[in-house]
Amino acid sequence: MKYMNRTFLCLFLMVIFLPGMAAANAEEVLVTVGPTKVTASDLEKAVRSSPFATQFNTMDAPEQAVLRGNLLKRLVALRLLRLEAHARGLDQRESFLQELKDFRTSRLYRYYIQKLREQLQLSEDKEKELEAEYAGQADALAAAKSSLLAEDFRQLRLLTLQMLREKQHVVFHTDRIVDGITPDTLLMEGDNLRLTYGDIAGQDDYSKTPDASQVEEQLYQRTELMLFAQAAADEGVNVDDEVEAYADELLPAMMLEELESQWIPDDKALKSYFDANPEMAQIPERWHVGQLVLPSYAQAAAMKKRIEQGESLFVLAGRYSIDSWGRAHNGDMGWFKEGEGVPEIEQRLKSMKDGQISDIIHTGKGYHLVTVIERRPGKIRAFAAMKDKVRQRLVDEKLAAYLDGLQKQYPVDWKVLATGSQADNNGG
Amino acid sequence: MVVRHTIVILAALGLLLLGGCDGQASAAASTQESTVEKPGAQTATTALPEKTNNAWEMAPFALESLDGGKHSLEDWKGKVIMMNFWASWCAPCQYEIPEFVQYQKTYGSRNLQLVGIGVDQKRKLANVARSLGINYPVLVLPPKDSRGLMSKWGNNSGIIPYTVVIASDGRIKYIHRGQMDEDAFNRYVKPLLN
Repeated sequence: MKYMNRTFLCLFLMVIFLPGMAAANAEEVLVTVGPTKVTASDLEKAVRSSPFATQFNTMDAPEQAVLRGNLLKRLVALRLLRLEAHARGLDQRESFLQELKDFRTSRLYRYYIQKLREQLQLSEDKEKELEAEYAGQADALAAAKSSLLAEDFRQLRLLTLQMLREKQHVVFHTDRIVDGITPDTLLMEGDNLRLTYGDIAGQDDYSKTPDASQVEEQLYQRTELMLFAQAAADEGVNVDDEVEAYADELLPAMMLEELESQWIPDDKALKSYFDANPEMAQIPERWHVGQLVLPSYAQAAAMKKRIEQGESLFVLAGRYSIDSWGRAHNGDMGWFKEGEGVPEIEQRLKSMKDGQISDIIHTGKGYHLVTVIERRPGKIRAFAAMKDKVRQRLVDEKLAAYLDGLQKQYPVDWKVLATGSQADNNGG
Repeated sequence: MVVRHTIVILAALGLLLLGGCDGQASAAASTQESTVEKPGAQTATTALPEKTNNAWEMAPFALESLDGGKHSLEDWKGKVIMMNFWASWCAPCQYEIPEFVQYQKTYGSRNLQLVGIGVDQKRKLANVARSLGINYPVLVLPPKDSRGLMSKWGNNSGIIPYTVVIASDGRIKYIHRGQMDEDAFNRYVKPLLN
């Protein structure tokens, strides 16, 4: 939290440096984190891919600036974690490299499928026929076209797959999917590719008798994936940027996961944090309060008498209360939590019955008559019901301190803080 | 069948979106459920309540624009008008608007005039206009008054976004329900330009 607070004030005053998406200078460096830069386009990407992207555009400029500031802080935190992940060699781990490899394959595959799709075209006659049938109905025309193309695509895909299998001399050994199969059992081989049972089955499956039809299905699917990806790579399709972007996302997440398991190895760590912070479990007593404030004891005493004789505290408060907010709301002060109000009054609220009118309470603001309209008693929540919250708070706390430490290693330099006059101009 | 599905889905979407926006509009839209446009009722003459396919023969309407003045469609008489009904909460609207901004920039000199009709609070519309850099006029249609004007242009179900294309002589050439893509623009709007 400390980390968040320290940067918050200056970020709040941040220049609204991007008047609109179109006008942004995408390459403008907003922050440097160690040797790396966070640019305006990084931030715009984060805004646009956030769950509030649509709502963001409807906000006033100062609100947008605050949100941008928060997102930028988040980007900086992720960047710090990523740098540390590299330093710790997380990017050399077998599991990470495998995940990147799978990602690369799936991107190449998608690219190839897309290319196949784009090759397809309806004949000119067919196109004209459809246009006549669906004149003036763009959506219906598009739907009719794509349903015709879908069948063509299915056939083209099968033919292409067949062609690639032959070209790579692919042979399947489905007869080996029987009891006694091992992770090393070779199920498919070709010129440049091979798949073993271990590539397909999960670790838990090795000891079981394989479900032949399921394994076969997976075998064919994986082969198609590999063949199409290989074909795309052979054509020189480059997905390096996408893979790099994915790695950039993955590393901070891995780093955070690692830190979390280090900070919270088991529930005991949560429990001892919970025990050390008992206030977390407390839900304070809450009261819905009615109030009439008067300038003198005598007037308060007179009002109390009128209320006791049947007049309403709320009607009188609407007329006579010297507290202007209370007068405007006919004495209905809304809900208060224990600890939020004036101590002298709270003490009385605690012991009063609902609906009862208090005796006269003197504070710096005048002479008060109060009543409790409704109350919610305080509670203490059990640890079991609070585990997620405890975990979240513990991680937030540890992470803030941890990020502070990382900033010593990888200095963070904010390039985009407002000068006072600019902030004033923008009402922020 | 395809036609019917598309329209029903869009109508349902329209109801849903309006439902999320404001209760009155939603109630207004739901009373229209049974009168969803029939497939085939595509020419403006039969579909529009004023039984004309010429915008200049319809009763004029005037609305306040984001920059303050009152405007009516007649202000742009002689231009090829793309009148786009949108709202700030509507994601598909926000996807198509940047394309409209581009059209206005590219084809403004060839007589194209985008006109946004924002069915929403003025403040939110102004924020979206600023955020997306809208470079054409946006008129403000308070949601509670939206039903009449939308029906007038054939939008009984309150679909948003909804775009009406009016040729320079006033003929209503095309109505698009839902997000309008570049294909539709090239097919129905471009041929009308100078």
